[in-house]
Amino acid sequence: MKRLKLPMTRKLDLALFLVLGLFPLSGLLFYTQLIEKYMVFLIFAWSLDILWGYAGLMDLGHAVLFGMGGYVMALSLSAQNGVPEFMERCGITQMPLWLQAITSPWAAVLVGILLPALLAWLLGRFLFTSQVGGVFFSVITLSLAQVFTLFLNSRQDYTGGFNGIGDLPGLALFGEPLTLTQSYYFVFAAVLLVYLFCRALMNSRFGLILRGIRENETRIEFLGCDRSAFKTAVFAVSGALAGLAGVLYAPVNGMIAPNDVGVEFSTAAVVWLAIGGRGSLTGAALGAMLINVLGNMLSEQFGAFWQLLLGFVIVLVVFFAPEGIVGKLAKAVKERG
Amino acid sequence: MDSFFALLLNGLNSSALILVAALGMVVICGLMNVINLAHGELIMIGAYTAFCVTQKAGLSFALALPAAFAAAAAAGAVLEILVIRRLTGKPAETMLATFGISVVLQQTVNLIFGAQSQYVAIPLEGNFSLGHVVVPFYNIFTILFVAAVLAGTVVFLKKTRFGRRVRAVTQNRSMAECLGVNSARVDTLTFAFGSGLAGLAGALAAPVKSVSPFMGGPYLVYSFLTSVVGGVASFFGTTVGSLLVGESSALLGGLSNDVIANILVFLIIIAIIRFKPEGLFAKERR
Amino acid sequence: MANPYILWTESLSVSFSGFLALDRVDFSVRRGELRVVIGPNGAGKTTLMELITGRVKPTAGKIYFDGDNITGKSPHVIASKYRVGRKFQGPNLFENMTVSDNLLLAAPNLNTVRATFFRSTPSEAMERADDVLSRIGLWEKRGRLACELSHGERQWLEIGMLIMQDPKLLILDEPTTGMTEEETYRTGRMIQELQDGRTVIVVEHDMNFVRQVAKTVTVFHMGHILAEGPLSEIENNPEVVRVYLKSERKGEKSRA
Repeated sequence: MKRLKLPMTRKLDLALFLVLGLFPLSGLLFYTQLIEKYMVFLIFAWSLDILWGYAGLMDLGHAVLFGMGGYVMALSLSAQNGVPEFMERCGITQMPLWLQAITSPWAAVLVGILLPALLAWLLGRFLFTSQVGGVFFSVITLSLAQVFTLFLNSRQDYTGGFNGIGDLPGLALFGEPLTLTQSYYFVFAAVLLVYLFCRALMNSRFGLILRGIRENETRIEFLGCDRSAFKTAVFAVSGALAGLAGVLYAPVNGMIAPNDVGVEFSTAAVVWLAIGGRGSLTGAALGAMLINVLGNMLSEQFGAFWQLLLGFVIVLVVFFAPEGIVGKLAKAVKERG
Repeated sequence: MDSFFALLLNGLNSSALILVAALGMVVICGLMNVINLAHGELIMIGAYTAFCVTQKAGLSFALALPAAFAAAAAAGAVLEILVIRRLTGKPAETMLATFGISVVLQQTVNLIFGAQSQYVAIPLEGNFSLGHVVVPFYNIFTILFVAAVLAGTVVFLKKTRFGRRVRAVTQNRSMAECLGVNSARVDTLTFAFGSGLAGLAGALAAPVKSVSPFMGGPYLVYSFLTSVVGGVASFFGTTVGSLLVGESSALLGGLSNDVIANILVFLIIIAIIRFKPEGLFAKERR
Repeated sequence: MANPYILWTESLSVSFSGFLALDRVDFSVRRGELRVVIGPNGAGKTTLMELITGRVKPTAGKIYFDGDNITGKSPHVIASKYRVGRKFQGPNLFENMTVSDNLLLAAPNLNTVRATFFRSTPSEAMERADDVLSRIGLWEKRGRLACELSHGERQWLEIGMLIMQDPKLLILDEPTTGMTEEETYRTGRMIQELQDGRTVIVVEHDMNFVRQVAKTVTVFHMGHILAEGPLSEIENNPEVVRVYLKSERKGEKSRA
């Protein structure tokens, strides 16, 4: 029942990894650093894709899960030499217990991944077990993002407030800081692993059921499927992956601030997937890379118009290419062959 | 005791603002069954209209209110004709399209006016005190004005001919069309009406809340939650819902931190919706 | 001695905001039986099915399946643990998924998180799906999306999904809606094939179809059972004729 030829989406994935894998060889140092950051965004994009693209749950506050991972890592990194500077400035002289717990980088990674997963799981258990519709989930996640930003901005003493936490060291393995190229390939490896993880999970029967839930929630219940269990499960996995992206983001970006992880960034991810295409992993990657790269190139000339343009493109996409750019490409290829 | 009464009054003011913001959503979401994620931006348009009328053109606030209604209603009409109408029966697509529209509106206003908060002068200065809580006159005005808007909306929809047409179309479209109602026109006008109400909310909030291109988000959340908690198609329910939200925020805020109060109320609302998704005063439709 | 009844209800009632849809109904079906349920619109036939499959909770009364009290259980539990399958009024497919995927989704006892997390559908289920594809005549179209099929093909896909599900009790809600005479006849044959040891409840309006397949008929009217018995008895029952069959005959004339 399965075709032997590689579907177009796999070819695009392969091309993407080829380009990403060879990019540092170009010698463009500044852009290598940028692409490294965008690779972290790929993980974030995929975490939203399995939730929204595959299961149909439109999370408008996904950056909260990303931000939790990011801030955990940032706090840990800034506490390596005792109480962080921004905390001292607020009068905290003793390291709080919770900070002590995550000072060890391994603990920080674990907490950074598991804490958002736990939040997602709890939220899922609470929301998905009732009959409330999808729009409710979207509005709740949106408000979560709003509250999260409010919280981050208000707790100067614990979160660095509006300015966030900066001066973070880059990635290091076993105490040895990595060079840019080493760091890049470390992130590349992580991205590859996440890709394989997501592919395997979505190609398994779990992915089939998720798509079934997206397509016809009532019918799948009659086929013996506990929808809320599946939704909660995918939300938890999505949370873990978003947390992982955040954990990588903090050292790669060197700093983290409430603007990076609030409503704006949640919106951005929705934009990437809406335009690139959802439910294929490829569309999410394409959308994330394309929009970020283009945005970076055009921001000097067009600045604020870029965001405006993206908004328009989303509306156009809904009417003319609901499956996103990737979906349109896939259809074109199918019709030609 | 006086302070308590004053807190109640201020809570009533919050309720009024929440109610007028949610009214538009009840019309659009409850009556027309359309999910409009750009609702907050319609409110924002009303706020900026008030800003332009009072601060830029120097006109009286009394003109700002109808202007805000008109501006938001116009925007809503355009939105309905170009986008909403073509996506009937497709909730996921409508959500995404209106999400895109909200980005467009935010960024357009951002480009024209900049991202900074704008100042709109309070039209009715002064206040009185009860105990040690201050009650601004503008709060009283807001309460009275919103009560009038609520009454007006209910009368409009229940007594006027247009209101009857709206109810006919939303309850049984094909039948209404057979009886000669231009359902497409009714849709546009209904959506415009709901949008206009949102605009009014923005104008009323402008002197007392921050006015910026990105102010709409929390309003969307509050409007949605309030209208759902009351029972999405029920004006009575939404009124009760906004009283619930407004008063609890004010009373709790009077006791503790404002942010914490908001979060608490918020959690209570979510819990209510989660356990009673049809709302507290749902009109049962079979 | 095993209970001859696989499904029975005790004084089952349900009302929707004051409207009594079912009024103390005692409905029972024998194991392996093919039962047809008829009655005017709004008589409560579909409501009864909603209750049996767990979509709606009764306001009073109980439902028993295979000896177990299933009153109030969730639809997915009733579908998987008790193996009750249902085909809806009108096609209810996974439109943007392939024909094969539609069938695979219906494979029994494979829809829990544990059974699916990183696991693929087992080969025996895949083989059964291939088998069913041939039986319903959709093998060539297995890679097509469900929304691309013709109306009749969609109904057969639904029936294919029911075969995949391999339920103990099969509920068919107006399976011949919108079908041509020939398609209706073939559906009748397929249902008789499907029966094969299973219990089948068919809710129907088309009296020709009812005559083709029915042995025992239950007539519903205004929320309770008006009459129950062999088709010949029912057709000659004066009350049934007055309440239902007369209007049905009128309907048949206009449909011709």
